[in-house]
Amino acid sequence: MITLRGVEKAFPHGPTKTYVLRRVNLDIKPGEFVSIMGPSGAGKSTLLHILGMHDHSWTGEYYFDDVAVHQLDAKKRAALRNRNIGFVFQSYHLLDDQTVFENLELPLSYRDVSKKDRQSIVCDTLDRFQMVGKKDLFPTQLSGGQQQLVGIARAVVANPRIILADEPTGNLHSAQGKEIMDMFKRLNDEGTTIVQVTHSETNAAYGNRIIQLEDGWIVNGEKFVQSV
Amino acid sequence: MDAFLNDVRYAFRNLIKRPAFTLIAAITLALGIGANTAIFSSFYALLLKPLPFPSLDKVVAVWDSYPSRGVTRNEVAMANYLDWQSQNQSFEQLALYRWWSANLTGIDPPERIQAFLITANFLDALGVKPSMGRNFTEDENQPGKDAVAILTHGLWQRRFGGDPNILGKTITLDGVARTIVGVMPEKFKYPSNAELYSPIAITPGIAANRQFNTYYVVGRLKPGASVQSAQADIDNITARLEQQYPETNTGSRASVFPIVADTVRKYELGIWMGMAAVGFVLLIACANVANLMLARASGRQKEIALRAALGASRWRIIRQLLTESSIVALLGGALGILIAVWGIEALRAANPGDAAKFAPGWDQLGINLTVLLFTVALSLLSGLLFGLAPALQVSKPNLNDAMKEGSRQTSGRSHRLRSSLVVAEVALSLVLLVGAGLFFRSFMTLFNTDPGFNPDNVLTMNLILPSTKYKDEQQAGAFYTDLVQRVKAEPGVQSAAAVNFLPLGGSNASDAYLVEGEAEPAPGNENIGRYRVCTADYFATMQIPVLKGRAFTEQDKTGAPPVVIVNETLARKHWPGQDAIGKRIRLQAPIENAPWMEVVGVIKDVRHELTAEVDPEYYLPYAQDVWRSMVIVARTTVDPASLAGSIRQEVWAIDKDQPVADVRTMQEVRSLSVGLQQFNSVMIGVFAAVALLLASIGIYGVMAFAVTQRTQEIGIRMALGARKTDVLRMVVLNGMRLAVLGLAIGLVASWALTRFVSNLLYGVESTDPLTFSVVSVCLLAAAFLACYLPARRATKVDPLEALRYE
Repeated sequence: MITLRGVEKAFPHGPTKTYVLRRVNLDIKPGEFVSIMGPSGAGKSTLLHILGMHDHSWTGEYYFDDVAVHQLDAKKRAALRNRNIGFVFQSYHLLDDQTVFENLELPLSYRDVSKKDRQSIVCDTLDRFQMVGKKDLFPTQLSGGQQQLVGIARAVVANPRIILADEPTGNLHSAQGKEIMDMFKRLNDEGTTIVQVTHSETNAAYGNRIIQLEDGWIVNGEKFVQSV
Repeated sequence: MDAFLNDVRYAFRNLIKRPAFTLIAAITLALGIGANTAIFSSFYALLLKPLPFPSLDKVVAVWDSYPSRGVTRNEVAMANYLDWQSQNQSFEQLALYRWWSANLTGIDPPERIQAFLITANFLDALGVKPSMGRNFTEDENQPGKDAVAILTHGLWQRRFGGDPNILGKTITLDGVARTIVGVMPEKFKYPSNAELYSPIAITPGIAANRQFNTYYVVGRLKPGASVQSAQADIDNITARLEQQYPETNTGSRASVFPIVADTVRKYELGIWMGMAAVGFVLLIACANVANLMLARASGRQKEIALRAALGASRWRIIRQLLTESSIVALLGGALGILIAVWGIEALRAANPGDAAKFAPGWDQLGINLTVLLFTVALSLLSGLLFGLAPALQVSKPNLNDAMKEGSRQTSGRSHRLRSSLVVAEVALSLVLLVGAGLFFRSFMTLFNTDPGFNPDNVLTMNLILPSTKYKDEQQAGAFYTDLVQRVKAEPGVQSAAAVNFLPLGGSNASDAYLVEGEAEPAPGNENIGRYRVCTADYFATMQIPVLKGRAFTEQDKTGAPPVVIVNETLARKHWPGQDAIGKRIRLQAPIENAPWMEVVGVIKDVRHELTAEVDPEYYLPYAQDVWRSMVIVARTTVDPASLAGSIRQEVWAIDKDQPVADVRTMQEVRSLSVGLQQFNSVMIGVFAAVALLLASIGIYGVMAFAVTQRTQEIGIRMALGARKTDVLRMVVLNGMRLAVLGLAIGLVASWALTRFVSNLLYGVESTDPLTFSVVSVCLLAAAFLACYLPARRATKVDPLEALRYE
């Protein structure tokens, strides 16, 4: 599904360059649950945003379903992303002045889905996440765990093939974190590919593969973990 | 006091630390305050203190009036004035004056000066005395004793070099030597174009005449008398005179007006309109600065929270913030004075409607102590206006939230206030833009109105032959016949003629006429028509189409059958559906036994005022009605102005002492006739443009600030799939929502307010849908641009950067 070959990212630093990612080669197959781990500053989030096609200032080759992402212009890249990728953030990034329903509707509105279809898709998603009763609440009226559930619901509402999650439980206590990870697991079981950045071994254990990054290098591309 | 000085010190330090903010705020305010100062200086000079007379409220103007005809101001006949003067109980002085265009000769070059013939009590009525010499005596109003003159300070300086020994010297006016007995104080000039005064010689014939309405009357009320009581008093007198002299005084009354209101009536509404317009501009400027202050205050929440946490009371914080806004306002005021000085210069240069000549107080236009005090007061008021809302808003911080790191620094309340200010700005701008649009359309309608003649390539100049030199009609007639022939012979002249009053020149004569076959109208109900005399080629020279019959010829001379040419309106009024040629009219009173004149031609209507309907009009051939005051018109094949010198030389070749005045092209005459309308249009246009600019900056500021505040949100949206067009649309729609709301409010306000200026509009309704639509589109376009720029910036938000806050 995803193939990276020789991907590098660097910032100019005086006469030299500071590398954030070095010669990253990576393959992610459909249905995988991959965890990216490593110390702070290792390049985890950068790699996630390159995978998510938010970042395009890098060198190397990126193929998504055999489409050469590195050769696409911004418009085509955005279209490809919108069709296939959902994002979950550590700080949820829900829009405070919009209700749960409106937050879920947002990604659909950017995908030219008709109002009627949007409503039915959002209702289905609310149902699936058991949040129908909270649809008219604003994010500030929800707990952190509930907010992140909305964040995940928002990531899946447009039916992406892959979800990229950047430390999705970083702001939650352990009980809430578990609930979120269970949700990811369930989604993965239903066929959605998951790539998460995490510091937590426990969370990584939900996946079936760990990619360890250090100073921008992948130090163990082949470490598989036992499913939880 | 110490705390206040501390506030001032801190405010200065704060403002210096942010020079860009301080400068932008001060310049924005300077535009508003400067415009206000400039217009207030004209308000003060022209409306509040136009006339330097003591006890100004006691000075009044008295006019003849014909309520049944809707005429409130008509010049006065001498006999009526003398009766008013002798029978009234209300006036300390009731004086009379008339215009006199006098030829000043004997010193080179000869010049036509604007003199006034006055009764001896004229200066007493106004409450002024000559600064040198003496006033006239009553005796000097007797024929033969009137050969004296008082100079205005201006003429004394200009033509006599301020000669301190001028008293007792003689000057020649219209060929008659007059002894100078006085010089007026520097600031005195009434009427405002006066250069010299002489006593009016009241002959028995003039004293008995109730039909030559050529005089103006001013009076000073007795202590205890008011305008109302004087009106009642004079009403009784005019009612008696109506009984006594039914033939001449039927329907005739008099109107008493305070002199200031009477003098400023032509431009009063325009000045009030200007005041309202600059008031709007200032409000918009204040809204903009308030928005700047709010944006800045949101960045200071932590500082203010800290002050509050350390024990500062809310009032103390408000005072600190208001001190800052007052200093910004005073800085704006200081810059505003510079703008005002420039604005006043521009106003002087524009000289709308020849105001320098006709508007008393015009020469006092400028920055004086009162204007300065106004500016300071206005600046402080502005400071309070734009400083109060932000001060109230941020002086009540939520200490817990504000002092947290990374806390959001604006509240919804602040955003709402900023949005409301922008809505108000747009609404105010729209009112000004609609006003400007209406005045522009009105002016263009006027300017494009067919005047009935072709004003291109025509040179005009005015001459008045003095009766002392050109004693009879034959001499005067010979002069003009000779002059017109000479002008025709000039190279570059296609044709030339003479007429007593130019169209659109501002001067007209009207007289009652009788129509053969119609019953003589009852007194007070006469046929009044405009009355002109012209030489043979006048219609050809002005290219006024002769619709029926013929133009005058050289055969229409003295002794030939009396003929007349009428305009379409007169022909239609009296002979609808008939051929006017061959019909006869004659002048009614005051000429006894005036002969019947046969209509030999009907011309196309000519407009003498672009703003008024065309009146019935009749033309007499010059040879059958000789005037001493005539305007020479010459149609040229070259630039008309280039022939002024050579035509002047032709005048002086006939009479070297004959002054030539008002040398203008016909296009200049036409422009001058719509000068006030043009000025109103330009003035409101300039203010509206400033308002639009400020409002656009306001919208831009709010949207740019919103984009900065929402960077993260925009990043999230883009991360969730928003395309550049989605972000662009979101930001533009947010801004346009405010603009459309402001537009709606502005449209309602315009609809309500423009009716107050409907009197100043011509050919366009105050609710003209076209103007409202075009202006709305322009404003929306400007608003769109103001939203588009920050929106485009928003599309450049890098979601990675925006999300890096994590």
